[in-house]
Formats: sequence, C-alpha cells, structure tokens
Amino acid sequence: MLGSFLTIFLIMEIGGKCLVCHSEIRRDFKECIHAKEGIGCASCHGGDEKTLNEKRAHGSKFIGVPKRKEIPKFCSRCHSDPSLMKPYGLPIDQYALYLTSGHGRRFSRGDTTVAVCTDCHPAHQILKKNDPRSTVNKRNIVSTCEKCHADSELMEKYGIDPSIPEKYRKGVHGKALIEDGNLRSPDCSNCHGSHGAAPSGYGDINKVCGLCHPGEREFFLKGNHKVVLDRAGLPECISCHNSHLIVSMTPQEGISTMCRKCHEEGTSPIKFAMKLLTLFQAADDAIKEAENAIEEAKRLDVDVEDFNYRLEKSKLYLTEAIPVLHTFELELVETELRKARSEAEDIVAEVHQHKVQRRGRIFVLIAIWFYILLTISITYRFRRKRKEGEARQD
Amino acid sequence: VRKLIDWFEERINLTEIVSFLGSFGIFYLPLDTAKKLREALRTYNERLLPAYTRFPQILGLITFFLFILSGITGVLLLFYYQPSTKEAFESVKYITRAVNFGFYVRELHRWSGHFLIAFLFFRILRFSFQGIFRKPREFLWIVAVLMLFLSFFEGITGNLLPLSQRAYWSTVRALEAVGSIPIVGPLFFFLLGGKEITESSFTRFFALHSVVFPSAFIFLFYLHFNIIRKTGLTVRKDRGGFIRFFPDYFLESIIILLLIFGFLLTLGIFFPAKDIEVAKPYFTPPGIHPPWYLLPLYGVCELTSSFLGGFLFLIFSFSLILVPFFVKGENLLILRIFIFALLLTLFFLGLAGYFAEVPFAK
Repeated sequence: MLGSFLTIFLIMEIGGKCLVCHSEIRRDFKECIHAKEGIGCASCHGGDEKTLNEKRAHGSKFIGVPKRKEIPKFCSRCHSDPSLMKPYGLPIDQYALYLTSGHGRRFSRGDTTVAVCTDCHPAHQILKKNDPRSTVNKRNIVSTCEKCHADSELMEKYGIDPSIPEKYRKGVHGKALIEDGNLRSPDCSNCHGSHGAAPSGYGDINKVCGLCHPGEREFFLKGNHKVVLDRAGLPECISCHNSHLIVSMTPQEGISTMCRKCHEEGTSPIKFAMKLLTLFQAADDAIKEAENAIEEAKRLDVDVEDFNYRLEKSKLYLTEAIPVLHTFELELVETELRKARSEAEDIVAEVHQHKVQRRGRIFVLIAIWFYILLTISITYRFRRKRKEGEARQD
Repeated sequence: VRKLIDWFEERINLTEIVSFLGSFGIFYLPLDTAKKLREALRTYNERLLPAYTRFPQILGLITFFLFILSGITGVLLLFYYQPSTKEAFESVKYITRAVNFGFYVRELHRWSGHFLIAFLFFRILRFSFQGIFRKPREFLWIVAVLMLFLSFFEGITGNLLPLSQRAYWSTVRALEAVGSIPIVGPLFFFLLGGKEITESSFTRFFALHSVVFPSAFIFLFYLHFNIIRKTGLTVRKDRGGFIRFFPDYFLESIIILLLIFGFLLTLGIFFPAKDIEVAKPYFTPPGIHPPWYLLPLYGVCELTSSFLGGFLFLIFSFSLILVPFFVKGENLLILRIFIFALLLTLFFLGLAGYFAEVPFAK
C-alpha cells in the first residue's frame, strides 16, 4: 500500500500525473532536457497534467500525438521564439535552416518520409549535445544519420548512395573520430550542416574543406588545377581525395597514385610528379636518418634535447610542404622541403661530430700513454747509466 | 742558468723559498737554509733515505699527487664554472663540450677526487696494519684520520656542483646521511646555512668546496710533513739499504705521477660522468644513493634508525681519532684481525646502503 503510494508520488514528481498511465516513456522522459528544465507533458501535448481523471486530463486544449507533417512547425512554436530561447542561450534559426535544407525542401513539397526533428532528436529523450548518450553528440551523429542514409530502400527513392556512411567510416575522418576518438575530426554535420543539411555544390567544395584545411585551400587556389577542374566541371578537392572515403596517405603515396587518375604515364605532368616524389622521399629519408642518429647519440650519453627540438622543426617543415604541394609549383615545394632536409641533415652531421670526438678521445689516450711510457723508459736508461758510472767510480 | 741563479741568489734567499715549498711534501728532511741553493740541495742529497720509502710504500705520495692534480684541475675548472643554480649545469655542459680539453680536465678532477678519498682510506688501513700510531707518531695518525673526514666533506660539496639530476639527488641522500650524525651534521648544516639545497646554500657548497676545505687540506698536508720531519724515518735493517733522493726517489716519483695521470685519464675517458639531465627538485629518479664513501653510514641508518646510525658513527669516528691514546698496539696480530672484521662490517653496511629501499623510487 505504502509502496504504491510512494511510486505514484515519485512519478508525479517528474511528469505530473500523466506518467502514471504513460509509464512506458517515464524512464526516457526523466532524463530529457525538457523534464529537467521543468517543461512538462502539457507544454507540448496540451491537456491537464494535474489530474488522474482521463477525461479531464485529455480535455481542454489537448493536442495529443502531433502528426509527422506537423512536427517541425510544432517544435518551432518554442524553438523559433527569441524570448523563450534567449535564457537558454539557444539559437532560433533551426526551423528556418531546416526549410532550406534538403530535408526541409522535400518536406515542404509534402514528402513526409524525409527526416523531421524527432528523427534525430528522439521526442521524449532529448539530451544535451555534450551528453555522450545524446543522438546528436559528436560521436553518435554518424549512427544517427546512418539510420536513414544507410537504408538502401529509402535512399533508392532519392538516388542517394546508401554506402556513404560506410565509406565515411572507412575514410580518414571516420577512423579518426570513431576509432581514435579524435573529436576535432569532422562528422557528417561539419561538412553538410545539421539543420540546414545539404550537399555542397561543386564550386564550393574547396570552401568546405578549407574550413579545416585552410593552408591547402589557399595554395590550391593559387595553383593551376583549380582553373582546369572548374573548366572541366569536375569537383575540386574530391577529384583526387574522394568525397567520403578519404584515404590517409603520405605525400609519396599520394603523388604516386592520385596523379595517374587523370594524367597518362609518360606525359610531362607524371614526370613532374616523379620529381616531387623524389623530393619528398629525400626529405623523409633525411628525417629517418636524423631519428637514427638521435638514437645513437642517446647511446653515447649526449644530451639530445636540442636534437629532438630540431627534429620536430624538421618534421614541421615537411608537414608545411604538404599544403604548398597543392600549388603544384616545384620551386615553392622545394623551398619547404629543403628546409626540412637541411635541418635533419644538420642533426646527423652533429651526431657524427660527437662520434668523431669520442673516437678522438681514444687517440688522445694512446698519445698520452705513449708519452708516459717514453718518459719512463728514458728515466730508466738515465738511472742505469748513472749507476754504471757510479760503479765505475767505485 | 747558473749565472741567473747566482744573480737571484745575491738578492733573494732561494734556499728558504725552496725549503718552504718543499715542506709541503717534496722533501722528507729539512734543507739547510744558511747555504746556497745548489749546495743545500747537494748536501741534502748526500743524506741517504731508507729504501722502504720507495715503491710500494707510496700511498702518501700518491695521495699527495692526487691532491695536487685535483687542485690544478680544480683551478682550471674555476675559470669556466658558474656557481649559481641557474647557470651551473649549463656551464659544466659548456666545459665538457665546448672548452678545449675541458672534458679531460673535468674527468681528471672527478676521478682524482674519488681516488684521493680511496687512498686516504687505504693509508689509514696501512697505518693501522703496521701500527703507525704508536709513540711518537700519534699526531700522524690523527692528521691522517682528519684528512679522510675532510675529504668526505670535500667530496659531498663537490658532488653537487654539476647540478645534474644525479648530482642533486645523491647530494640529498648524502645530506640525509650526514645530517643523522649528532654533532657533525648540525655543524655542517650551519656552514651550509640550511638543510636544503637552495640558491644561497649552493653558493656555500661552492665556497666550501673550492676555498675552505682545500685550505684546510693544505694545512693538514703541511702538518703531516712537519710531523714526518720531526719524527724522522725509522731505519729498518730488514727492509733493504738506502737510496738517494736524486735520482732514485725523485725519478720514481715522476714516474708514479705520470702513471697516476695516465690511469685517471683512462678511467675518465672510458667512464665519463653521466650528467645528462638538469636537476629537478620535484622529480626523484629511481635507484638513488649517496656517494660511495657514505654508503656504510647510509646503510646503518637504513637498517636501524637515522638517530642510532648517526650516533654510532659519531662514536666510531671519535674513537678512530683517539686510537693512539687507547691502543697500545703491542700485539699487532689482534689489531689486524680486528681491522679485518671492521672492514667486512663496513663493506656489508655499504652494500646495505647501496641496495636500501628508496621510498618513491618505484
């Protein structure tokens, strides 16, 4: 008896008296941000949440379950109201953005199979973005989008490739985000937007990629490929790097595989690419050699702090050469790579100097012992002669 | 050259200068200062020395040479060393890497210091084995023991000066060990101005190491040779005949000096100091122990308590100084057995100190 009262009391605490009957959503709603901020059932669904009488509860201004085609408008009643959203520091443009998105445009044409608010934000369990369980948390966004975008039946209707999420997961961004947990790696929404989700136009791809890769973009725009690709109507960055299945590779691997996508073997661009390849390979080899030299220096008990610092510097120059590579101008790339190489080669030379110095110590030692033994032998001869002289005198 | 010496001789008493310098260890017997230098040396050379002053009875000579060597190299290091906590490590690095022959000078200084302590210890062993503390050589023994203790402090203060991680933490352990000795510890801390290694106490380490203790050392050497001159050398028939100061003794000394030099240099080149990291007072590296000559003390402190260990060592050192007044030394065999037992104890205590569990090491 007491137990059941207590249960009712506890339920009433959160969602008024609605949850006594609608107990199936009780657990979800308890965690919902709306419940925590004191926005109860009646705020969305209307009716009276203070009574256990079903008729009265579902009485005046009762809305019930909103229809799918009403949902965006339904949410925007509050979420587009500046006076309501201001205290929470939330934006009010989601509905406007949604209407511009691929989803929203089809929705306004009357297509209700496209995503609406509740497909991404589960109605009764809306969690904050930084909650790790939230469907819109950075780590979970891919699986949220995947729910529809990996559905081949659904995607067939719109002519969208259902393998895109899978491709993304295999790509460098997906691996970094999902496997390594690198939260700086972009999820779907970073490139496509969230509420205003739309594929970017061909001419805009360099801008989208340039959000995170500004150096590459800057040098790409300076180079000759931009003009050629635009004239041929080919997408910019993704012509070489793919769009979702972006493969992580070293500059050497990139040069030796990507250029052949468009350029034929034996033509001057391929010869140029081979030149670049040699340059990168040389810088890379120099850095590896410097790493070995530092290991050797450690064995010689030499202080390697300065070497490590300079090795990092050299690696940085090599990394800086990669954006510059997008100009496809030999001179610029070579300047960066020469810096990397000279820094690394300096380290090798200095370690070699240390080695020579160590070897020199042994020579000094031999010379000194030679001198000592010489002196000893001379003194002994001197003494013997003196003794002989004394003996003769006696 | 003879004319030049004569020219000087008319104006300065060269004999007296040479005699004064010689009293720091070159001549066993005093020179006749009334005579001219050449004549004085000749008459000195006519007096024969007992043959046993030659090899292998040269521990005293070796310690003296080691002291001279560490003195010369120490002065050379002074030209480049910066005695402040900020610059010390960098300046030592500069000495060993950039300065011409800096590496050799530094290694010679380091190894001659270690061997000075070792040979002072060997000498006390030899003294006790042969009973060289009996009348009239009581003071010889006391001076020898004082020199050993002084060399410990010289070592402790010098150990810190490179201010590397190893130097810093072994000095911390050394201060723990020395601080446990009742009267000596507080006195040492008084000289340093505190129990911790700070900016100001670091300068004191330097001052003690480079001026105060060496001066005391020179004084003790002077005292030592003074005593030898006074007591003279015993002539023993079973130990061969006599030798001349020149050329026998003099040339042999030069050979020994050269051999020591070569030996120390060899050690220095094959086992250089490993001062790679600068001292980090908030990071204790594993496997830290005090300098080797403090290991027995550290061991007894670790095995019992720091108070008891220190107290035992205080009694031990005082009794070591006062040995000539208590031990008659009529039966040398018992004494030798006793010394052997003592050596073993010290060795095992040293082992205990070396392998002592160091808190936070793991």
